[in-house]
Amino acid sequence: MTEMCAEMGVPAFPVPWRVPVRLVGIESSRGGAMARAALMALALALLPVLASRGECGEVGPVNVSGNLDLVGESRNDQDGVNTQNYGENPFHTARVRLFADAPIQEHIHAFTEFIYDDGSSKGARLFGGFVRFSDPKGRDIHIEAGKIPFHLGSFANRSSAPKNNLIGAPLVYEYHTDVREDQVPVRGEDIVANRGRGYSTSYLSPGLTGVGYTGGRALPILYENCWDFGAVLVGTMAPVEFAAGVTNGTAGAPMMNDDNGGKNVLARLGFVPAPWIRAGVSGARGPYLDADVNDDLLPAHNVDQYMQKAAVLDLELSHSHGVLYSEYVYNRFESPFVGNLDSRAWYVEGKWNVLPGWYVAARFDRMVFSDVALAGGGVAGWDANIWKREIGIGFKPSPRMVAKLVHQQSLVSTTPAVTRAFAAAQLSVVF
Amino acid sequence: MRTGLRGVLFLAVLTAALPPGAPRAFAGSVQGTVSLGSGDLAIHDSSKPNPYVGQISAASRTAADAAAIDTTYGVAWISDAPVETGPVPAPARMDQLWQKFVPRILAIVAGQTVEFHNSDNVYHNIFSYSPPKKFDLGRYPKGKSRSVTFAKPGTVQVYCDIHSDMRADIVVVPSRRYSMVGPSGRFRIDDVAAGQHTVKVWLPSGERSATVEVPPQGVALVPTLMP
Repeated sequence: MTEMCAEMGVPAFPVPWRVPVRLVGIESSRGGAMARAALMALALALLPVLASRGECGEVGPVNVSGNLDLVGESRNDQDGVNTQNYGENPFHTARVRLFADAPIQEHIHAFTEFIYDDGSSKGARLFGGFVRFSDPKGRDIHIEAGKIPFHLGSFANRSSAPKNNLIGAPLVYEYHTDVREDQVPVRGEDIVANRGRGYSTSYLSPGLTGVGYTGGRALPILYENCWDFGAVLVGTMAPVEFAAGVTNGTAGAPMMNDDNGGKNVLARLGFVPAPWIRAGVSGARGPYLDADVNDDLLPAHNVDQYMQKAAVLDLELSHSHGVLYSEYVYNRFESPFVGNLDSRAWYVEGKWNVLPGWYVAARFDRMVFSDVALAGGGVAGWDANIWKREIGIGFKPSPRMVAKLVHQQSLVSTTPAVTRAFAAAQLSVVF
Repeated sequence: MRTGLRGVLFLAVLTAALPPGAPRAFAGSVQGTVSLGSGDLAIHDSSKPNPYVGQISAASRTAADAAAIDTTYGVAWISDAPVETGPVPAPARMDQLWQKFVPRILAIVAGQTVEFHNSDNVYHNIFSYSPPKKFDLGRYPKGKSRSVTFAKPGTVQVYCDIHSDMRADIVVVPSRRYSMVGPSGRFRIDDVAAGQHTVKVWLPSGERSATVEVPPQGVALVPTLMP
C-alpha cells in the first residue's frame, strides 16, 4: 500500500506543551519502518542536547510553538474544492500545527512539525521533520535532509493560517485532479468520465477500462500540506535565491518512502533585484505512479518512464500598504495509455492594509486542462476546468493572532457545472 | 511667619520659572533595583529558527550580537510627575536592523516623535494596534524612515506585518523623570521633586510599582522590586 505521509499515533487532542510523541500507529511496513527510523533518528539526535542542557533548571533548547486555527463556515465544504489529502481541509473546525526545533550542534538544527485536523482520517500526523546543516562560514546556505519543506513556487512559506491572508489555499496547491498514482486510464473515456470528481476519482468503476489497484489517491498538481522525503541544497546569495534537491515523491505526490524506482528532482531560482519585487522560476520532474501499476503496463514499460513534470513561475510585488502575489504553473502527467495530461494554473492574490491591524485580501484562481483523445473519436478535456475566488477581511492586532472573514466561490465546469459559495470565519492563534 | 511665607512663594516662583529639563533646587534622586526574570533577560533572543529558508531576508544576528548593542531591558519612571509642558525632546530613533527592532525597548516622553528607520535590505511594515497609538507605516526600503508622534502616555507594542518575530515596546512616560533599566536591573532617576512619589517599572514580564519618599536632596532607595 502506498503511503504518502507517515502517521503519528497521538490518541487524543494534543496539549501543545506536553505532546507525547508516541511512535505507534504508523501504517505500512515499508513506510512505517522509514517513518519510525526518521523519527527515532531525530529523537536520538535531540536526546544528548536535552540531557546536556536541561540540567540545573536551565531552559531547554527545544523550542516548542504552534498555532491553533478555529473555523466556522456557512456551509460544509467537506467535499468541496478545498479538500486535501486524508480528507483534511483548511475550512475544518479545528486545526493545530505544532512545531518543535532544537540545535543539535553548532550549524546543525533539527525541525519537526505535526498537524492535527479534526476532519482528517489520520488524526494527528507528522507534517515534516528534517535536519538542517548550515554553512559554518555563516553564509545563508544550507543542506536539509529528511521530510523537507516544499521548495517549489512561493506559497509554502505563507501557507500556515497566521501567514495566509485568506483561509483557503490556491487551487494548484490542493485541488485534486482526476489523475491517480495507483491507477491509469486505458482510454480517454476513463479519465474524462472522472472529470471534476477530484478526490473520488476511480478508473475501476463499472463501465470503465482503467487498470491499477485501490489504496492510493488522486493527485493535486502541487502539494505542500505534507512534506516530501529527500534532501535539498537551499540558500541565498543576494540578489539570488536558490534550491536544488532530490525527493522520493513528486510535486503533487509527496512520499515518506519511495513507491517506485525513480527519484524526483527539483530546483528553484529566485531573483530579488529590489525589496519590492521577488521573481522565481522552479520546476520538478519525477515518476509519480506506484510501482504496483507495473503489472498492468505493456511489456518493456515501467512506471519510472512516466513523469510528473511541473514548472512554476512566481512573482511578488510590494508597494506602500499592499502586496501582490502571483504564480503560474504548467504541469504534465505522462500517462501510459492516453498520452500527456497537461494543465495550466495561475492565481493572483493581493492584500492591502486599510487601517492599523486591518486588511482586505482577495485571490483569483484558475486551472485549465488539455484535451485527451477519446477511443470513440474526438477529444475532450481530461479534467473539468475550474475557477475559484476568495475575498476577505482580516484583523491582526499582533502577529500572534489573526481573525478573518472570507467568502469563497468556485465553479467546476462539469456538465452540469458545479458551483459552490460559502462564507467562513477563522481565528488563528500562535502559541 | 511673613518671612517664611515669602520664602515659600519665592521658591514656588523659582521652580515654576525653571525649564522642564533643568535641575530643581530641591530635588533628589530615586535609585533602585528590579528583579529581572529569565523572560525579561531573553528579550533580545526573539528570533526563532525559521523552517523555511531560501528567501532573501535581513540576516538575523544572534541574541548575543543584539544584546551587545542594545542593553535596555526595561524602563523606570515617576508616574505621578506632572506632564511635560516645555519643549518636546528631539525625535528618538528606533532602527530595524538584522530583522530586529533596535532598541527593543524604547522610552520616550509624551509628545515625542519616534523615527522608525529601516537599515535592512528588505522591506518592513511597522504597525501597532495598541490603544495609546495605532498606526501602520506601510512598506518602505533600506535607508528610509517613517515618523510617528506619541501623544498619550502608555505602552505601545510595535510589530512588523511581514516578519512576525519582530517586536518592540515603546514606553511613553509623562515626563523626563525616567531611567532605562539595564541587565543588572538597576535604575536611577534624577531630579525628582521632593515628596512622596510612585515609581513604576515596565518590564516585558509586566509592570511593577513602589511608593517612595524623595528627600529635598540625596537619594531615595527603592527596595528591590520583585515580580
